[in-house]
Formats: sequence, structure tokens, C-alpha cells
Amino acid sequence: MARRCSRKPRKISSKSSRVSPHTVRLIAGGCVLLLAVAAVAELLSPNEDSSPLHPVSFDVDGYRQGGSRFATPGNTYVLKARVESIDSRGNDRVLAVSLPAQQGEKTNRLPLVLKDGSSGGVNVTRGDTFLFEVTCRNGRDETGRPVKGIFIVNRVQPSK
Amino acid sequence: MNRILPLSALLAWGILPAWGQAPYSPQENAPSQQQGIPDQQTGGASSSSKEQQSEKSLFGNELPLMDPSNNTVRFNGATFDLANNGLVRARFEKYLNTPPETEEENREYRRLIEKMLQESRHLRSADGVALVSIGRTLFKAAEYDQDGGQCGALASAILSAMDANRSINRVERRNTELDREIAKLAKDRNRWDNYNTNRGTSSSGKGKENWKVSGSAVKNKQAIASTIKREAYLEGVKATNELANKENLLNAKIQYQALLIGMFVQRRFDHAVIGARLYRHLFRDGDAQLHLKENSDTAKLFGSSLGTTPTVTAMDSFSNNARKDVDRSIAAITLLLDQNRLGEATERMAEAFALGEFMQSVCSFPLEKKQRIARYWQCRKELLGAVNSRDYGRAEEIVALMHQLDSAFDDSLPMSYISAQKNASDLALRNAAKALAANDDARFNEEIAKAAVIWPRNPRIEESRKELEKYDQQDSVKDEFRSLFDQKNFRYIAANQKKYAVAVFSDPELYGRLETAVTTVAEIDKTIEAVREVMDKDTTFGVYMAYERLARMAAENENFAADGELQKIRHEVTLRAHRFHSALEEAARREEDREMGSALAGYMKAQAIYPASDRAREGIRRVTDVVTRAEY
Repeated sequence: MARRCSRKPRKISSKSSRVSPHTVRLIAGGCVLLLAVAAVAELLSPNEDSSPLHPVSFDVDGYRQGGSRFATPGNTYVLKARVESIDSRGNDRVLAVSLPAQQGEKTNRLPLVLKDGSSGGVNVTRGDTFLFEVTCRNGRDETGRPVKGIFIVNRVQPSK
Repeated sequence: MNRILPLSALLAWGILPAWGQAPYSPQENAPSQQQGIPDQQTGGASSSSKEQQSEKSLFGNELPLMDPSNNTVRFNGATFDLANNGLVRARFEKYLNTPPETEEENREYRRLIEKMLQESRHLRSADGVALVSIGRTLFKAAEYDQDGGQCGALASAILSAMDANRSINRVERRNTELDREIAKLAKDRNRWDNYNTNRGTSSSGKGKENWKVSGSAVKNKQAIASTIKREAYLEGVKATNELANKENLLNAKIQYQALLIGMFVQRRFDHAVIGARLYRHLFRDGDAQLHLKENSDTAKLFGSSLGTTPTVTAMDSFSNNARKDVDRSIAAITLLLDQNRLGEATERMAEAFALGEFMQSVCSFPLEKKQRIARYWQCRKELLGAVNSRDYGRAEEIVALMHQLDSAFDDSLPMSYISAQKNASDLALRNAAKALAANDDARFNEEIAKAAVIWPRNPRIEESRKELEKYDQQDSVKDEFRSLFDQKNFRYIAANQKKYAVAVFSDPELYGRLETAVTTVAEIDKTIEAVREVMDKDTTFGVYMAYERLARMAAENENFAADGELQKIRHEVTLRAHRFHSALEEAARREEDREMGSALAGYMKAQAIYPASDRAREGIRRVTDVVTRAEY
């Protein structure tokens, strides 16, 4: 969640009512510039949303039967998973994670797509366990064919 | 001028004495050159001559004429090959296998013949005793079987001739009487004529005077007319008698000549000589000409040899020469046998038999010598038969045997012919073998047929037939092979590759298929062996490695996939790596359904099971590319 700007806007004196238009324009531009800088700063600044993520259990076997059914709107999951492998594609990465807490086969893997910037500054490394907030989505490739049941990572938190 | 014999002689024989006639010597070899082995039908020459008596000539084409250039005999308008005439061969072979005439009975017969020949040779004058002796001997000799009735026929002919002569004599006597009566009538007529003319000439021709013409003159004229009439009648009778006599004489001659010619044609030269010698004693008018039909074979036989009119004397001479020729031939045969020259001896014997079958020297020829010739003759016959039937193997054996029997036998001609035929047949078989190797059925059949026509009993034909049977069997083997290959039953093909290799080696396409089948099976077996080894050595991932390798092999080539053993081991490995297999299969299905997340999860799971899995890695790569490029 973005931080709101807490600075109040500067009052303009009465004397300036008789300020020249040039000055007025100058001042307005400065304000706009400041706002832009602030926005950029907001964007670049680390997420400071530190609300804790609570993992849930997830049926990986069921997912493998057909992931698209998990792609209903609003289906967001928090998974505590161990990164088994990372496959980079440009700035994006595809993680193969295992859910250690899950019962069943230890060889089950779940693919998570970690878009550029989605990690929130968290250094996602192989072999470590993280909390991933993911959303299952359907998309289309460049030919228009569907690409169903992909888990996109919203945010990542290190797992304590 | 005829001389009359005593009555006893006439009663016994009635043979008129003959005056001698200088013998004529024709060309020495003319009879043997022109006389071959006659057909048996020539025995009927005498009967055919009887049929032609009314024509007052003898023989049309009855006399066989031999052409030595081609060993044929022309008889009665037909041509007979001496070498291949069954009757001729049979008669000669019978002679070769018949014991000689050495029994007392045969000797006695020969003695009688010789006696008649001697007596007739010296019969130069009106010797009634000799004639009677000959006649009696003829009847005696006629009783012997080997005479064949010839002496009896000759004796009968002589009696007929004598009867004819007696008849002629009677007519002549009658004519003599008629002459006397005519003369008497003429005399009376003359006398009466003289009476009438008063000239009176007597029978002595002297004139008589003072004859007076009387009333009897009229009577005389009547008598004269009657006499003239009578004379004319008697002249007519006399002329008729003379004509009848001539006809009877001619008939008698023709009949007798017919018998002689018949004997001559039948090669009864002894009888012909005897008959010819007696001829001039039976017919003493000096006419010994043979009354033959113009341009007949008999006329040619005598005329072309002598260049003159054929006569009884000429026939006598022919017969004598034939007898001498036969005797000389027998002497030559004896010498040739002593020198072991069987080929020439056989030829001389055939010639001697052809000419003098009934001659003493031929009939009494020793059996053991005839047997030697018979054996060689049989070889010759068998050789001809073998060549005619194209049994050249047998022919070759016979030639070798003949060379053994006759040191002078020239085998170059038969062996050249035999070798040429055998080589031609073998060459055709060689071409057939080439055609078989080239799968040219039409040419093969053609060459085999050609070889069989040339030499039907060629032993290599049997070999070729067996090869063809194998080839025919290989056709079914080829069909079997094609069927198995189409079913991709390579393992069975490889297990019986020797059998199929023999059948298909000549077909490049099929042979290529055989190689494919064998190499496919070998490769599969090698892979299976390697896979088992891997599974045994690596108990952790070995089965997954085996699974992937076998799957890859099946996917590369449908021939591999169809192999039973490969399928079997794949099934076994799949069971053992079922989790890995299920993960991959599931991932592949999800990928098809565009459930990319599920597919990726499946490949990842497979990779988790077997980290070195190529298929899992490839699946992950493929799906990841899609997932990362998609827009959501």
C-alpha cells in the first residue's frame, strides 16, 4: 500500500495576490514537480507494508490436475514454501517451490512466477523458505492461446 | 535246225538239244553294285510276272535297285533305308544268330546243287542223259526245305517248256504234212491245166505231144478251181499254225524267263545259273533275248550295265559273278575278323548277305564269327538308337565299346557330334542358371527347355530342376518375409535370418529390408542390455535413466517401438518408475490442455524425482518460455 504524502501545501500570502502570473506559474510548476518527486520516491521506497502473511495449506496434487480452477477472481493464497529452483527469464523469474509443511510427496513442486519488483526487496534465494502471497491467473500468450493456472507472486516475506 | 532226241529221252525229259552259245562276260561288279538287300516282297516277283504274261514282257518296278551313296533301296516306287528298314535288319540279325548249315541234310542239298551246276556247265551238246540227270536232281533237291521250292519250280518250268516244244513240233509236223498236201494239189492242178491246154507238160517239165483235148476239160477246170480253193485253205491253216507256234514259243519263253528272273531277283543265283544254262537247250531258236518291259528296273539293271539288249546269257553271267563275289566277300570277312576289324567285317557281311543269302559260303559261315559280327551290329544299332533318342551319355558308352571291339573304328565323327550336343545342352543350362540368378523366369524356362530338347537325359537337368524347386520354395519364403516385415516382426526375421537371406539375397530391396530388421533388433538388444546394466548399477536413478532412454528409442523409430522385447522392458521400467512416468504423462496432458501451471508443476515434480531428466528439463523450459511471455 502506497504511503500518503503528509506535508501540507504551502500557504500563499495575500501579498502574492498581486504577484505576477509568471510567478504564479512558477510556483505551480514547483508544486507539480514536488508531487512527482514525491510519487517517485514513494514508488521507489521500499514497501513498508509489513503486515504479516499467514500461510495456508495448498493441495499441490489438486493443482496439478488443473490449475485454472484456482484462477477465480480474488483467489489469493499465502504459501510458505521453500525455493527449490529459480529459473530466470529476463527480469522475471519462475520459482519451483516445495511446500514442506504439506503432507504427501516431497517431490511435489509448485511453479510461481515472480515478476520483476514483486519481491519487495526480499532476496529470494534457492534453498530458503519464504512466505509468498500469490494469485492464480489465466493469461494469453503472444498467439492468443490461453495460458491457464499460473501463480503470480504478489509479495514475498521471509519466513521466520 | 532242231535235232530230235531219242523217245526215251523225250519221255523222260523231252529236252531238245541245244547248240552252244558263246558266253558273254558283263562288267564284273555290275550286279553287286546294283543289287542290294531286296525287300522280302521281291520273292513274289515270279507271281507278278505271271500276271504280266499277257503283255509278253516282264517286270515293271519289281527289281530293287540299291543306291550305295545313301544306303537306300528303291523298290516298286518306294525308297527303303537299309540301315533303318526293320525287315532288312530283322532278316540280317536272324541270319547272324542262326547256326550255320552244317548238318548232313544241308550238306546233301548243297551237294545236289553243286552237282547240277557242274552238269549244266558241261551241257554243250544234245546230251539227253545229262538233261535227265539234271531233271531228276532238281526234283530231288526240291524235297529239301532250304530250297524253298525253287528246284521244283524250275523243274516244272522245264517240263512246261518241253511240253510247249512238243506242241510246237507237232504243229510243225502238221505244217509239213500240209506242205506236202499243198504240193500234191499243185501238181494235180498243173496236170489238169496241162490237159486242158493240150500242152501236156509232165511233172518233169518235159512237153508231151499228141495230147487230145477231151470233154474232160470242163471237169478239169472244176477240179482246178476246187484245188485252188483247197490250196488256199491249206495255206491259211498253215499260216495259222505258224502263227500259233510263234505265239506258243514266245509264251513258253516268257514263262521260263519269268521264272529265271524271279530266281535272279530272289538271289537264288545257283538256280538262275542252272536255269539259264538249260535255256538254250530248251529254246534252240537262238533267241536268248530277255523280253523285259522298257524302262523297267530289270531292263535298267542289265541294259545300263551291259549297254546292250539284256539276254539270258547276260543274266547267267551276272549270276555267276554274284556267286563269285559272295565267295570273295566271305573270304575277306574271315580275314578282317582275324585282324579284329569288326566294322569293315560287318559291312562286308551285310553286303555278302544282301547278295548271297542263299549261297553256300554264306549259309555255312561259322556261328562264332557271326556272333562277333552280331555283337558289333547290335552296338551299331544301339548307337543309332541312342543318337536318335538323343541319349548321348549312352551313345558315348557305346562308342567306347565299339572302339574296344574294333581297333580300326573311327570314333571321331560320332564323338564330335555327341560332344557338340552335350556342350550345347550344358551351355543352355549355364544360361538357365544365370537367368535364375537374375530372376528372369521366362529366360530360365526357355533355356531349360532348350537344354532338354538337345539332350533330354542330361544329368545336370535334374540338378537344375532341384535348384528350381528350391527357387520356388524361396518364393514362398520371400512372401513370408514380406509379411513379417510389414508386421514389423523384426525379431522373428532376425532369428531366422539365414533362411531369409538365402531367399532374398538376389533382391536388393528385400535384402535391404533384411539388413534393416537385423540391425534394428541388434540395436534394441544392445540398448536393452545397457539399460539393464544401468538399472543394476544405479539403484537410485537407474530406472529413470532406463525409462528415458527406452522412451527416446521408441520415439526415434517406429520400428523400435514395435519390438516386443523393447515393449516388454519398457513396461517393466515404467512400472518401476511409475511416479516419474505419471508425473511426465500428467504434465504432458496438462500442457496439451494449456494448463501451463499444472504442466509446469508436473515437469517440476518429474525433475524433482529424477533431476537429470531430459524430458522434464525440456518440458520445464518449454512451458516456462510460454508462461513468462504471456500476459495476465
